[in-house]
Amino acid sequence: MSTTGPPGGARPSACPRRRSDVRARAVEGEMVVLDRQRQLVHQLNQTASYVWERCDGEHTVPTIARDLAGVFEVDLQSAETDVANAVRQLEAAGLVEMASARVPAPGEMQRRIS
Amino acid sequence: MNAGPHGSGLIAVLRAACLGQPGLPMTALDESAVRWAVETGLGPLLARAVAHDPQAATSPLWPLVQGANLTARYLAAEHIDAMTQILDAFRGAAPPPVLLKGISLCDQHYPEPHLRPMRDIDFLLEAGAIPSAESILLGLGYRQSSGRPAAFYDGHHHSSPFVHPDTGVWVDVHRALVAAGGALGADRIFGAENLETQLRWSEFRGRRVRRLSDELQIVHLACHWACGLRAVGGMVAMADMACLLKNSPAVDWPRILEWTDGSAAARHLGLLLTYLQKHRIIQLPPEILRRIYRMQTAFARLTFGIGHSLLDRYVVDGRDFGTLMTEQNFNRVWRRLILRRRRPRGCGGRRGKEANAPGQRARRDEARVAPSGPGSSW
Repeated sequence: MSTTGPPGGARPSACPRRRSDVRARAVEGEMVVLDRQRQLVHQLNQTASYVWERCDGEHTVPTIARDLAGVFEVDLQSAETDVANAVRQLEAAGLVEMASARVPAPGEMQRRIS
Repeated sequence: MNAGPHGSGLIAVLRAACLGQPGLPMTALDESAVRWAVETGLGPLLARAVAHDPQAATSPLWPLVQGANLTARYLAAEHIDAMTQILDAFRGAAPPPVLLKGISLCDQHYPEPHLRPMRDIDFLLEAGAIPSAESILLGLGYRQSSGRPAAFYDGHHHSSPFVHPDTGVWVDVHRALVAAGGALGADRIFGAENLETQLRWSEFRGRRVRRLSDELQIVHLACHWACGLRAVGGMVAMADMACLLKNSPAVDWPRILEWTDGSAAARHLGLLLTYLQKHRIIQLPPEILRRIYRMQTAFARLTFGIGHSLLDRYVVDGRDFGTLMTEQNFNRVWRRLILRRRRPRGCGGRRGKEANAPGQRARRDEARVAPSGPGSSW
């Protein structure tokens, strides 16, 4: 996906989540997302594909950027810009929704502490 | 749909894409022709036909074509994966199915599978193997879904369709090639005896499957096209036939002519082949064409012109239906054209009175009761 607009628009604490009714699969090495409801098809580049796969409602944008920087060996600042742009475009295309970061349940916190 | 004559554009797309002559300029088609090509399922073929045109990508309509092409690639991959998964699950539990229509043609005769639009997966199994095949499908997560009453499928050539809730892939499990109670149900071409002799072992992504012989595939294709013709999508079977004939130069035409002589299938085959030949999408030997033409009744010959004209205007050209020629009237006129008036003589050369003998009629009645077709295990 090409990048448009100023970078860094996504809330750092927000966790992008793929829309549950859109389907995606790799076609000849590239991720293709089929939105039957809107009758649209999207082809994602390598960065957007990486971001897409992590839009599970669990990862925040900075987390995704940190992972991307490690995998693609780019500096963190560039990764943050790329991920923010990709998330913004996916959101604008109606493919992902932004969810607030999940607050751990008391039991989970307890387990982590212990 | 669109107004305006652009039929020659879509015929050129078929010629270029199916016959391996990509070199069509995008400008050969006006906007309405491009939109109609995409709507009628020829988007991927159009993308292939204009692949050598450097200006194609600059057209404002290119995203539409590219989107259709990408969607077709996605859906083809989805259907091929689903078929592969089904074949793996069938191994040892059900016989290798006979692949039919899109899932067979896309892999066997098209230059690339996605060029053949697919809405579902069709395969045929012996009647005895269907219960286990259907339970395997249920085990894979498919569910039966249909808006029709269950009784409809008792006499139909396939059971109630299966759909996978996650992938959206539909599967039709056929018990016969044609509906037993339909116009072709009593035709020996599609009967069990002939079918047995026309199955060929083959592979699908390294898995063992069966396919129809090219000869039976040609007749089945033409009949399925003629009996289910709709303006939208009616060109897909034309592409099927063009790719099949290009890929199979050694078709046994005398055998096809022997089968179809006196059969309801003769008119269906004649309509499709003469139309494609007229537009130079296929090139049949003149003698074969003459024999196909001679096989037709006088009425059929007379109506071929009307049939071709309907195809030109509404299927290839994509013209809007009007107040006189509504879509319903189009379907009505087409049905009248393909309706046969004589009883079938069968594919074994039986003729005249024999075909109308009481025994023959009894077999036809039995065929209605036995959904799998006359006297067969299919």
